[in-house]
Amino acid sequence: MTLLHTSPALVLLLGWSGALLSFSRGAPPSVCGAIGGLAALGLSLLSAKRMDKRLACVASLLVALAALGGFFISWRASVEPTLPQAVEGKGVVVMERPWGGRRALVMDVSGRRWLIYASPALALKEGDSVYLKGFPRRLSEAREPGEFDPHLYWRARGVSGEVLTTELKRSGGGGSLLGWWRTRLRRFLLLRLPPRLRGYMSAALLGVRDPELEERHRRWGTVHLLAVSGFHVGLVAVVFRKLFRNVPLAPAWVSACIWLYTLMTGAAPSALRAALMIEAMILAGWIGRPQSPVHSVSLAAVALLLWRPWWFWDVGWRLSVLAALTLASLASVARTWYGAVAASPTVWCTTAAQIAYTFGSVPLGGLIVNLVAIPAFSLLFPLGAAASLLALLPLPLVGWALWGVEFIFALCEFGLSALSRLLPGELVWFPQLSLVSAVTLFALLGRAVKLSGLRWLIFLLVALVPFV
Amino acid sequence: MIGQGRWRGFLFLAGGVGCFLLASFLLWTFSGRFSDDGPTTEAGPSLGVRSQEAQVEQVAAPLKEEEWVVYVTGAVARPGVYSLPAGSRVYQLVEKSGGLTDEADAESINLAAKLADGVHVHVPREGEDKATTQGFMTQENQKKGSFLGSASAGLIDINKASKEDLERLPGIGPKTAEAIIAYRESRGLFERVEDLLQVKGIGPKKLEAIRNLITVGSP
Repeated sequence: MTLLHTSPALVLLLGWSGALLSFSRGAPPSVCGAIGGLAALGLSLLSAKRMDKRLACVASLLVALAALGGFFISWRASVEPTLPQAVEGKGVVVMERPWGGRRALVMDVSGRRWLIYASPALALKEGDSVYLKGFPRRLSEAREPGEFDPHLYWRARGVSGEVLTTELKRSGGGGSLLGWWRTRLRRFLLLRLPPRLRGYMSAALLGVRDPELEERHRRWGTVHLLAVSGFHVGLVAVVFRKLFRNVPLAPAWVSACIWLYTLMTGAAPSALRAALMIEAMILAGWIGRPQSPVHSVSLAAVALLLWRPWWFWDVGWRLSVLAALTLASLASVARTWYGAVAASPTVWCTTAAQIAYTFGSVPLGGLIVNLVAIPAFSLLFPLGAAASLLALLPLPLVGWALWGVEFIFALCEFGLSALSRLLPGELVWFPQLSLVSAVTLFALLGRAVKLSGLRWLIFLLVALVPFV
Repeated sequence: MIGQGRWRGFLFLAGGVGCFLLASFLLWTFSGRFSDDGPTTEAGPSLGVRSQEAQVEQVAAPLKEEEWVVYVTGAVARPGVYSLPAGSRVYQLVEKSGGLTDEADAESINLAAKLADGVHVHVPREGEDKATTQGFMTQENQKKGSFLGSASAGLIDINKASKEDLERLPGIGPKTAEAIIAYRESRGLFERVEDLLQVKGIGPKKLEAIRNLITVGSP
């Protein structure tokens, strides 16, 4: 069994990543397509010791998809949307988040998404119906290389441009149902739950992070627990799989719940990637095909790139794909208890460079804190969700129960804080850290797709290409 | 089987390495060779805002073959009315009118300033009363002004205008003028007139009041 048998989507993912990497280095889309195709061909040949006609067909198809797709996504990334002279009309707020001292609002007006930086005093929430009038302009770009790039960030979220408003007001009429539900749920969580519990539940159910909670978890190296990712979507899948185990068409019901949850949380890239991956695995199980974690992760990542190529530069997409590929590779390589123990430090290792590069540093404590935090929160999140449901009921002593759960969360935080002190300090980014992360990931991936000896070493060298 | 022998395996390996090397070579060769600066604005319905049409005309790219009719007086060889290609600048008008005379006060006029259709350009003579007749450009419906240095077809270029120039605009006091200058120094040059809405103290109404008097010069 070779890479082409077990994880063909990985060939596509690496080919397209090569294409987009070339694009970000200033190569024209046609060359990006050629590089994507060559990378796919190289991987196919590297993994094959012999090749029958069927395998040759698969390889040819992958090379063609990598070349054409690489060209297509690079071309899409290069094309700026044409902006009208003016934007005017009714729309719906589809996203709202703090942006420095202001609020960033994404509005869907006449089928296009526009970004507006507005004063918090406007108090517009997701799902609100608004009347917008203003002048569009291109999204601003990063001033210096390596800085946060608002253009890429907002393009990945489907935004066409920024609108300088001359008029913005609430309007009557229906907004978005999903937005309305999210706002309702947010209000409920904020008003009815104790502080910690509402922070965790807002993160897990809405994808909204409490700044203080985020700061604490950032110190412990566990901030990923607050970003809706494969961990959360996986928990939802496990819970609903148990609930629907005796129901006809159980996979369909589980899929529906996963997508509902993903949309409810704001459909962050990590959540979308996880939902797509789990969906691929559910479908594979349903139709009796073998499940390959590496293939499922790659397929989900590739689907997102095809939808919006700008995800490639999104830190959420990158961390999610890196972590999921690491875990999927480990699951293929070491299916024993030590594989489970090694999972957390290995993910730390493969994501450390990206975290340190984006956020300035990565806490060393994360290496050991995650060993406890991940199993603990796999119990605490369902417990918190159950407690939140309890708060809906007009039962006596519900308040006490909620504070009891709050106490358990506080106890867990105390434990994490104590653990993080065992390995204090933070690692700042340096170029060699990226090298370590990339080589670790490729070493694992190579093993997962059954490369060995010289082929595995050459695969490791491929990881060095971006650094040349 | 396409490749059964052991040597075929090595051939695949060598082919794979060759592909990676070629991809790396392409990446190295073509890095930084691509930029897409195509047009990103399409014509669309203008807002029902007063004077919007006039503004669109100012900022829109000139059409091919379009000509501007411009009037020049003062210290040029042949004062009069001239037709120039759209997008012309003052020096082109001066050249067309035979050049500056010996009496011309060349430092009083910005030869690089942009023209506009229907403007009147006056080139002052040395010793001419500068307070009132410095090199200016006026449009029919505009008050005479002396927008030197920052002048662009009689309009104030908010990317270059001094504090004093900005204060000439209706509704713009010293603080707002300072805020405009501070904004462009900290956030970069304005890309379009509407960017002024980002400046503290300038709202939609104020912008509409000054829209016809300002322009945005290229950086």
